[in-house]
Amino acid sequence: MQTIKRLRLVMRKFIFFVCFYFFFIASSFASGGKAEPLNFVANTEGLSGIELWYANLYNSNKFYCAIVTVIIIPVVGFILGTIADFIISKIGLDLKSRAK
Amino acid sequence: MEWYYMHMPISGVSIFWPGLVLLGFGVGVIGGFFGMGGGWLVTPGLNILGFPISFAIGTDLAQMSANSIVSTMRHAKFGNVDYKLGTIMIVGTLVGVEMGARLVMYLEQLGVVGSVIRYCYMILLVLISWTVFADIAKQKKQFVVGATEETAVGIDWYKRLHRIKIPPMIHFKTAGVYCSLWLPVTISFFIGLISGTLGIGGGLIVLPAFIYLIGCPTHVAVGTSLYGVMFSGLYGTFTYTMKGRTELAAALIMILGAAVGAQIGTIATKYIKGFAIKYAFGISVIGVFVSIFLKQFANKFPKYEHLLLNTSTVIIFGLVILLCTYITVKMVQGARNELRAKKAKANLKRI
Repeated sequence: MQTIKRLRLVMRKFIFFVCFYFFFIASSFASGGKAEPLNFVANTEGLSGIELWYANLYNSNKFYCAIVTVIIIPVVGFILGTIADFIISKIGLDLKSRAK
Repeated sequence: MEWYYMHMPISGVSIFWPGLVLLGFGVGVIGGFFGMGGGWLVTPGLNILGFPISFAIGTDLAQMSANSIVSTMRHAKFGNVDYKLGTIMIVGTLVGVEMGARLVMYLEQLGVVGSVIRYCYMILLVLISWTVFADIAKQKKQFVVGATEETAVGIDWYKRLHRIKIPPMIHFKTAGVYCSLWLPVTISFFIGLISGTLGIGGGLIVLPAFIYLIGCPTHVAVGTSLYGVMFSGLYGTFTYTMKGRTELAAALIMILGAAVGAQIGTIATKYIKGFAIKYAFGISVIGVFVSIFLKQFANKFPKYEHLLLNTSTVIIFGLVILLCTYITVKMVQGARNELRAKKAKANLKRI
């Protein structure tokens, strides 16, 4: 019984917080009517190489563009992270334990 | 166009690119140190640099996922990542991020996205800074009765939440937590919703949530938080690119700075402990709040609009520079002491 009571109390606080959070979003809805979604087109003028290819991909197919972006980002992160990791490990610090 | 300005083909704006490198480095240091992607600094930072708010969010999520990969790699080596907890959190977060992104698109159609997001940001920042300082105050009160920094207990909402034993119950070994599976799932859903709406990977909310609601030790909270941010950031990148709001070129420039910064920030967690972390976190949250507050209300005072907007920019970048300097100096000092101690030990062995 006590667990249920406690659960109810937590749920009540939780619902209050959620309502409080969405109140600010909901209050803005009164400010205007719904418009069409905004569509951006990449300006390819003056672009070349990979930049031009990516901008064209963006304009032609957002799904493929998203897939390519999601592949590029972690690969670049991993490569740069590994390089930085290698350089830092050369300093001679103990990078395996938290103890000083 | 000047050489230090770069044209962004999708959003159509010209951006001061050294600002992107600086922001990337700063967010790498701060993110690696506090266990977050740093979106709470990057979204307003990119907005101030000139990106429209929805592009600032998309680009921020892209750089954040790469930044958290670098930091997670380093934290994993320290044994700071609870993979089971992190993986469970991912599921709830992804659903929440998608709902949050859809909400932003809807707000954009209504033409109110900028102001609504800034209002929500401010409320969230006030709540978080209040929690952090209330926690410090609670711990400090116990010093009077003889508690130390290690033994003093701060805000412990997690103890009440752990009493809710809805099956299945689960044990998180690295974090040392035993609780209902529904606790991290529910918390992660709301973290995802807020992060998808505000364009923050969730670290700003995940870190206090892990510590105060789940009961993780701070260093495990930092590592596990980054592990989760990595996935939510990637999903956020996908969904924002699908909606055409990611500027890849800007994200890649930021990653260059972030890769170096993340190493410094992560290693600094080894040397900086105790209240210093909480104070630095609390102060930075207040700084971001003041900056967004000034930006939101600048147009209400046309006479001072320019001054208020400039002050907002100075605060956000001043904050990045101050925190980076503090963390970098502490990391260098700690590293120097460790290397000296190693050298002295080696010399003693030789003797």
